[in-house]
Amino acid sequence: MRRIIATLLAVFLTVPAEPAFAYLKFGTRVNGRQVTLKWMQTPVRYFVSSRSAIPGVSVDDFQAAVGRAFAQWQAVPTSAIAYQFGGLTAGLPGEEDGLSTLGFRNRPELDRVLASTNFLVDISSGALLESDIFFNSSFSWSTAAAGELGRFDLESIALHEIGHLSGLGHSALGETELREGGGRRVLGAEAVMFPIAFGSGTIAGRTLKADDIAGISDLYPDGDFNSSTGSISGTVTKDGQPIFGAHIVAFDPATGSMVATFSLNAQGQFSINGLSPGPHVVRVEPLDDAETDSFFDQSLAVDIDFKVAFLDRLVVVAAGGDRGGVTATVSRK
Amino acid sequence: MAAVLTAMHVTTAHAQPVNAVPGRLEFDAGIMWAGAQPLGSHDANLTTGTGSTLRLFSSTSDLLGAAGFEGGVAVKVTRTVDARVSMSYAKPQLRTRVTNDSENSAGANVSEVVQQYVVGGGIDWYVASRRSGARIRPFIGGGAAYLRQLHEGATLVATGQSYDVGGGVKVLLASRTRPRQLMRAAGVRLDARVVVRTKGITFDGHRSIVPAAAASLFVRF
Repeated sequence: MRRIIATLLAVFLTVPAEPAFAYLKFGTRVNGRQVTLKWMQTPVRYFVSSRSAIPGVSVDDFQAAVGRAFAQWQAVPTSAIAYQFGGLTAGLPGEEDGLSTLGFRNRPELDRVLASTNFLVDISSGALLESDIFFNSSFSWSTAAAGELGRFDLESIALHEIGHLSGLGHSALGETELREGGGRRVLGAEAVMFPIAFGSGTIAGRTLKADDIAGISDLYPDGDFNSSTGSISGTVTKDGQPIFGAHIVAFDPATGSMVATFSLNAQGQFSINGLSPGPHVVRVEPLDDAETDSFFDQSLAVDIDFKVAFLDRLVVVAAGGDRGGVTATVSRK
Repeated sequence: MAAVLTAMHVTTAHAQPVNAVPGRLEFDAGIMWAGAQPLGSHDANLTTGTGSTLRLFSSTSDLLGAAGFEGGVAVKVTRTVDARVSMSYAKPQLRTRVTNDSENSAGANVSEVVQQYVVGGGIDWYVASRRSGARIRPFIGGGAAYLRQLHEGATLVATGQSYDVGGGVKVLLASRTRPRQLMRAAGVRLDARVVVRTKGITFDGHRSIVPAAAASLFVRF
């Protein structure tokens, strides 16, 4: 069996896998065709490294915190994804042992990586075989219910990484600003899958948002998800030409919720799934130039030279239907 | 007993007479207008590290006022009361105004056209008025109706109820009293109402109150 390991680093680093068409799901090439990366069988069994204790976080604390994060993804009513704690293992995350392992590793050279997720993929079928999450113990961590000043919240970061483990890529529903001394600071985010973490001491990232829920439900639809929600699809053009990498946000004016995606191919096509029925405001914006490699491989030409624009029509989403053929036209800055 | 009878007599003597509108069956058709229905405001918010919100943009939505068509059939129930069924059709715009965008200060107005049907029934009660002449019949009335609103492309339907109270006048342009003539009266019906809508297109689930008015031509048989 031919195998490759695709390492997907979740925070601050690039996502080298190819994005699938709808939403920002991970994808890979199997026999020349694009396949969405997802677990074929659930529950997904995960293990906790028995060597993952660090000052302030015992193995039990670690197991409880990641357990709460797994439980939150599993509790999404419109998603069929399920997880099962398989027990403790002496292995470490990143070891190719057939177990999906979570634990700490000390990687001081990765001075901007809080945690990362990697996958073991069977490239003959596209099946996910293993996915490990490592948390960088060169940072300070906390599992306290209210968070701790100066320490990153393990549950919040685990929630983000488990989204990756489940097959979700990054969401761009957030705003950042440059920080003195390098890096970016998050001003606000409306998706757990936003690629840059909140600062230490906060637990604001412990709650899944509408965008996360739509994404996981799109990957693992359950119950009446496909019949009770709808989608918007179309193209983004500039000067009559399709553009790649435009960020498209569907805003529900009845609830204030937002679900987003990108134009993900050379034809400028996009598709936003998991939308509540009703009219939506569609907003198209460029990615910040400093953020593009958090979403796409650097070899891809992401167009960021256009102004924020709104579609002049409300786009009505019907339950179980796709409102296709939407064309968003943007103009140069 | 004598005192009671006297009192009743006095009351009757001071009441204004109500002239019945000739004919038993009325058909009317005309135009109507319904006012704007505010649907509320929502911000597109991001969550900050402290758990507070950072506004990406604001939105305010309204179902705008619109003119349409209305028709009805009324049947005389008593000398002063007609029962009426009616239907109206209008195409109001559902508009969302986007303001305060963090990266696009111009904002935007985005909209769709809604097809709105209202089918219902009610009562018109003719009342006496010192000012009403022989050709003018003031009335007050109220009713309930089924509300059906189709979003653009008829891909999504919102249904609800509509209740109205109001009043108006019927102005008789022609009136015939000879018993063998089929058409007994014709004229103009003008009314103004307060409409309470429940469900239908609503963003907050609350009832909404909108003004409405109509002008139509009627014939009575």
